[in-house]
Amino acid sequence: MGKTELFLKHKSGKVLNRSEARWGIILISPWLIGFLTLNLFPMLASLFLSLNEYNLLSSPSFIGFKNYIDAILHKELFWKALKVTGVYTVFMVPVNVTGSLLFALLLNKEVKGIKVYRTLLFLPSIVPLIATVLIWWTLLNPVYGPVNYHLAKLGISGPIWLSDSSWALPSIIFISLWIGLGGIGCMMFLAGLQSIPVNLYEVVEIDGGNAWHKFIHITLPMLSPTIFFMLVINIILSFQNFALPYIATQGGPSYATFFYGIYIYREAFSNFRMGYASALAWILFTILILLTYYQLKASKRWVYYEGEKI
Amino acid sequence: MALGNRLRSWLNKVLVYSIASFLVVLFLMPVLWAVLSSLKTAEQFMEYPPRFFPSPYVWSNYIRVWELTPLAIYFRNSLFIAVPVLLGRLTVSSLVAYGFARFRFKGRNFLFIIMLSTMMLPQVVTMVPQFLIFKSMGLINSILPLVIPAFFGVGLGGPFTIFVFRQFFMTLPLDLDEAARIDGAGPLLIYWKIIVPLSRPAFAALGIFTFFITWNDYLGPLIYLRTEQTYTLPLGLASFLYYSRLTPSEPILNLLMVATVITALPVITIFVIGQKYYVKGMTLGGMKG
Repeated sequence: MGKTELFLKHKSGKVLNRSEARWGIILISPWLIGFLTLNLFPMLASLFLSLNEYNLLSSPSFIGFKNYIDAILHKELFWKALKVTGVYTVFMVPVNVTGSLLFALLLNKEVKGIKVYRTLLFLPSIVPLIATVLIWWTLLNPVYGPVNYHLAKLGISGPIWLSDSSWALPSIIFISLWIGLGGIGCMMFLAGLQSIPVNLYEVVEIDGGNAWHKFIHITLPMLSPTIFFMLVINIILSFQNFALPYIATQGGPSYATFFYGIYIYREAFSNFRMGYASALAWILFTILILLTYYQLKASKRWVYYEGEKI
Repeated sequence: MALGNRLRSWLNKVLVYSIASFLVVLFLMPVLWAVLSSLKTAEQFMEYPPRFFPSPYVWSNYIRVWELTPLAIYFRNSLFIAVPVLLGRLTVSSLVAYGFARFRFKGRNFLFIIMLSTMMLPQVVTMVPQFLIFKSMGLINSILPLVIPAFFGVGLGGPFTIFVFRQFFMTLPLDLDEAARIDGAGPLLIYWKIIVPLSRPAFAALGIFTFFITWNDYLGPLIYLRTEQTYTLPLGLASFLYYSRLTPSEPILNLLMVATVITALPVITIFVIGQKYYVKGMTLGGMKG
């Protein structure tokens, strides 16, 4: 049996046009190759590496689950990284999702020129991260930055922000929000808001409801799939946060912004502990899978999909 | 009563404009400040109390930065990566999506779902082995590890691009394909003459998206580009910051802001011009997600 024959039988049992099947496979073959060599194989390889000790100089030596046990039981840095990343996520995600929704509600108002406002508020998310960091690093500079200067005028003695171990993480959170609030999330909520049929709102009006009722009973339920999607994606991305803290503070001062992504990068490319870094990556992956799974389960209770039988 | 309604709607408008304007000022103040600062002299940049407006406006900063810093090299390297990735990504992803959208074969849906789930794969899981693979091919310190994935539908934004293309293609009616097929056209001709011309918004949106993601990428270049000659703009700027922290070399700091503006300019320009397509394309992808 040739390879194309394998793809010929549709699950309904009908035999497909052989040429169609062949073309289909040819067309997706670049991705198939890419997936096998750059996704699947590395994924399995890193799983294998995580059970080894590998420093590039000598060949990997098998040590079983030692990397995992090491991390969880012995490494303070591991828990520190998880804590920093966790705190960041817990603050960032709800504020980002809620804020983006509020922005979208505002920017959905049909007043003239509102599109200009949307573009302008989208800009911070477009600015290259390095530019954002440089701008904020200078703004928050304790010596000549405007932020502390203006705070001083108000009588507040500003901290040294990114160099202050108590303020570094809040600063990172703040910058992340500056980047994210008017950006893609807001845009998606806007699209969601605009897809809500107007007659649903009219029904509320007829029943004597006001804007608040409209929001609670129509807007929120109709947006719940988007809200859910935003939550899931934001959590996944937050846990992988790397570039912003790495450029701005290198994980300091005193590990105040030592994100999990920085930990993995450092172990892999500064300390050359490839096995350990792979284990860290798989721990992260597991956490994300579990989080996504629980969110999916919980979503059945509050996410409303149109076309579902109630 | 009509007057009351008109008053309320006017108040509503005022409220919307006020809040929106306040937010714009708040959010764009740093950007405005950055642009203005790039036109300051080094002394005015570091001045205390800090000044907002430069006086005079030192436009020559934008010339000096090219002479005094390796900005041109960084810019060139960023382009050398962004352009091939753009071409490869758009071509290959659209062809793959075409395969998923228009052709039936056993395992198609399964493979599509696999492709979708790779979007959830954290970059860090495959990062180390990918590095080792490229290292064994001797490709460290070249742009190839950053460009090759785009030609195979993987890498930064790869599955997402395929996904959006496929969703878009599935909205195109089959009649045109049929008609062309009856006229004897093969699948590639149908792709080129029918699918592509009708998909301009998708190509525009995904092209912009790909350019953004590639131009702004930091982790990829950080891993694979090792010598300063190969640095992209994000990498180069970050090394500016690093060195200016070690030795606050005053003459450089205001130029740093110039370099920052220059780095941001291409993506901002492209966005402002193509935002209509970008917004449509991204929300199409996200809504169905």
